[in-house]
Amino acid sequence: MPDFAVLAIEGLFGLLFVTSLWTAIRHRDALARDVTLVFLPLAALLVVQLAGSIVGPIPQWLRSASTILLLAQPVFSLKLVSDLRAIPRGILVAAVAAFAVTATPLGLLGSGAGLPVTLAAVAAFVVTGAVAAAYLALEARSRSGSARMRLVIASLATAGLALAIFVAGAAAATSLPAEVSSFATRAVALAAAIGYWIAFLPPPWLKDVFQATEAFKYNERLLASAPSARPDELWADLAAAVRHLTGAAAVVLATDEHTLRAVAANGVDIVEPIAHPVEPAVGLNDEIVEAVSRDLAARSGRPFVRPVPIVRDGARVGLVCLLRGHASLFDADDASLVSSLAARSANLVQRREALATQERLAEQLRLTVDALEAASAAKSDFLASMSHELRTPLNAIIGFSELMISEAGPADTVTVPREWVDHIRNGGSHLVALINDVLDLAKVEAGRLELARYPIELGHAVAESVAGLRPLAARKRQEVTVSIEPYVVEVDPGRLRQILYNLLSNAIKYTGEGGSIGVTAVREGVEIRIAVSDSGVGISDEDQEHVFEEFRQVGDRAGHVAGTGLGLALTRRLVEAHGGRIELHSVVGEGSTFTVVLPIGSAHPAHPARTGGALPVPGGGARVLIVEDDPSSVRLLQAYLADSGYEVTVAADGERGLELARADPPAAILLDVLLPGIDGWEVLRRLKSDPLVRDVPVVIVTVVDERNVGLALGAVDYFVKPIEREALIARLDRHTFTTKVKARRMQVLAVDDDPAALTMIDAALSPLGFAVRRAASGREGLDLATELRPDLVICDLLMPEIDGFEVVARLHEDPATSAIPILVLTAHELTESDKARLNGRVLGVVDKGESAARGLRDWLSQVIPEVVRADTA
Amino acid sequence: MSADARALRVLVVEDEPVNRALLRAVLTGSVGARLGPIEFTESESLAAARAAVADQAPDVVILDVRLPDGSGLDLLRELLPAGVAGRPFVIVMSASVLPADRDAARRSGGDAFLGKPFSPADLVALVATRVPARR
Repeated sequence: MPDFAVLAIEGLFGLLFVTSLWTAIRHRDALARDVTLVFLPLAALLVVQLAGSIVGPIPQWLRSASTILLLAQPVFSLKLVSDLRAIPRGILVAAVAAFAVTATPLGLLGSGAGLPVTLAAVAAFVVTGAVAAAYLALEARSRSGSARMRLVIASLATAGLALAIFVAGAAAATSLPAEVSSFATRAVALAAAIGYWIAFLPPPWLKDVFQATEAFKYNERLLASAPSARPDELWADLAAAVRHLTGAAAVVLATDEHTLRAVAANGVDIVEPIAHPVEPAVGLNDEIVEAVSRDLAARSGRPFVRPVPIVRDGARVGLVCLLRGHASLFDADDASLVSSLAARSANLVQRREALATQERLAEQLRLTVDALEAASAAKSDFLASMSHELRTPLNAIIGFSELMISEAGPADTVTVPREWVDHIRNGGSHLVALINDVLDLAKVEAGRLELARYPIELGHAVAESVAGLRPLAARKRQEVTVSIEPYVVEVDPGRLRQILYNLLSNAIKYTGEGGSIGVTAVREGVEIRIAVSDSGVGISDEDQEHVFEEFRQVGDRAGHVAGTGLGLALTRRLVEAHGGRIELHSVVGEGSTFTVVLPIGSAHPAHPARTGGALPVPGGGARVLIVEDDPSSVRLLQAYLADSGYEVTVAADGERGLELARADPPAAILLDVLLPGIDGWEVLRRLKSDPLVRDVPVVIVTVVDERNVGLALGAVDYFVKPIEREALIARLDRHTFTTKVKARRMQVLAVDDDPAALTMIDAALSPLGFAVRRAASGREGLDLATELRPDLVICDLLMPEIDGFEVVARLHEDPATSAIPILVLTAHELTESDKARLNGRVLGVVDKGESAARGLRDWLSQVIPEVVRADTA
Repeated sequence: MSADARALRVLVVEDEPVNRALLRAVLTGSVGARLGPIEFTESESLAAARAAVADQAPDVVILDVRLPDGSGLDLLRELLPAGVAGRPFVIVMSASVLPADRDAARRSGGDAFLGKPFSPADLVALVATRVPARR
């Protein structure tokens, strides 16, 4: 083996030295620096020899230095190994000592040091090199793929170099022919050099070959994973595999879910939280990766953290962090291996997630189908129940009427027991109630329940419902007590009555002879609670869940009075339609309490001075024509209207009604639909086509719920019997207002210390038909109000002596003037406390700015649109 | 049926008072006159009906299905083993008239099914034509 081999050996080491030196300088990396040192001695030898062949003989000291450096090579290898693994300190110290003791004389004396010294130096070199090689082999065992192969080769190369020196030493000690020993030495040294080259500068294809096996094995493992494995299980698998393959002390795996969240860890307790927000626009950038690595190093106590991004579809979706206590050779290989494995896992996770989403959708679909099937079954049940419920009263109607037919008496008459007729009528009523409930329920279901809300006095509504049911309670000798604070609630009066009727009739129905029933209403916070309680049979906890369901009649059926089974279901829906809820408290054997809870928005304390949307001008003698054939209805309406100051004329049929209306047009007409002769629709049509009475407002009052027909034919309002008194009067007051203005000039008292304001009010209102009286001070205003009893007071707030607040308060307190509506006209911005002082006492507030006249008319146009329309026409 | 035969014993099992009144009026009134004298008994519940069946050995039972203490069909099944000779003629009368309801009545051993609302004439005709044949 000629010098060519020496050149190759030294050239390779030179190359390795330069490369690792470059890496060490560029990355300022301690590990690369130690690698550089491993190659330094042979590279130095190369330089010395090159220098010798170019510039001639080399000085002895330089030769000695390069020899010493060469002898240090295994020590440098051991130093490198100590970076990678924890090795006993004694070994390192011993190696250095052996080197120092043997190399120094050899370096100083050269070949003159004698054979024993040379052999000692060789022995130190060989032993140290072998130890280093053994440690490298150990390190290789804990790694895999390319890194493992490279460490194995590095270990062999280190051992090879030791062997070369050993051969050289052996040759010197024995009398081996120089050619043989030289050849053997060079051959082994060349093999070592090639080994180092492969280990430290492997061509990429070789690395791929080394990696391929591990990647393949991992693929097989992934494929073998359970199809039901959840993403976190797959990630845990990956973490375990990575730790095993890289020999890392620990592995932490985090995925990007807007913040970087640790999803798996191996060899360390999961280090939550990895609280690094990840901006979607930026993604998992190097800055975050750096921060996370530092954070993990600090928290885990393992200073060497190698982050490897998990890449899917070209985007980083997470991080695998390898945590080590020592530096690691070839960890770029680990990174590429981990990266490739992580990409496979990420793909699988994505597929599993897609599958899970699909399964979730399928489950949702199944639930929807179940719900639809349940709904369909419920509908069938409902129809079956409905059929049953309808047939029961029909049985009495058809059975008894058929019996009546066969009870033929003389001359086409029948004589039957009175109770037969009662049975038929009761069956009919029951049917109607049932049908009404079903229709109401259907309206609610379809969201077509229209509530006609008016402010009504709660006490009246309760009293009316109780009055209607008293005979029923009296028959069972039950005591009914009502305790209600005066509240005005804004509800649909008919529906409230329906609610109360249902609850009260149930209470009577399920309470035995001599029991007691109570109705209370109290305000609680933002709610008003109307409670209907009884001392009846009570409802078991189990039944309480079902009591509001359709066709659920709970409790003792034998004792029940015929019911539709829909009452409570409907009641609850009606309460909910008002934005409220219904509560049930019941103890079997002690009684039940149903509580209707309505939001306070629709309730406020009743006030002596009526407040509300309608301008509460007293009836003031306006004349109302009632067209109605049923005497009891007439009596009721007459009583309502007379109480409110209306004058009443009555017509018992349509023809008569038309006649009276034309003879002397009334302020309003209350018209029933079901009339003998021409019906109410026809009367309405004829009224609206007669110029003489076309403008008289017609209010339909009937049992027929055809509101839209009535309004289409020209009625201004529509009431379904039974009528809520408050609502009827409130609406009638509004509808007759125009008539009253025209008929007798409404009187308005304007109170203001500013003459210009008084003039403005006069100018704005006189053309509308109001008679305006002026008061120039609060005192004068109060006097005139008491004296004149005007229809409306318009009052300024800021006045000397008695100011507007005072005027409002005094008018309000004096029974003689408390019913007069007040409008405040002010330039003053109202504070909360101002509003509190005026609250409930004034009808409205109009700003007294430049457009005060317009403001006044706008306000009036809202309250009484007819006035302004008439004016502009 | 001869004129001097004993009265026809009819048991009505029905919780609805109005229906009992109707059946009484039908069977004991002018419509039911062609059935001859009738001994009319009413039970409001299954328990009462069991006692009545044992005490009075009715010829005809008019049986409602939905009763406060159970299904009328249970009573029907209990009567079944009494044998053709000793067993009353049972008319199941129910407001549940779906095919399934009629089937259930028949399978439980009902001799006839009348849906509510029923025609009194139909009931009388049913009893007149079917019951004598069995006595």
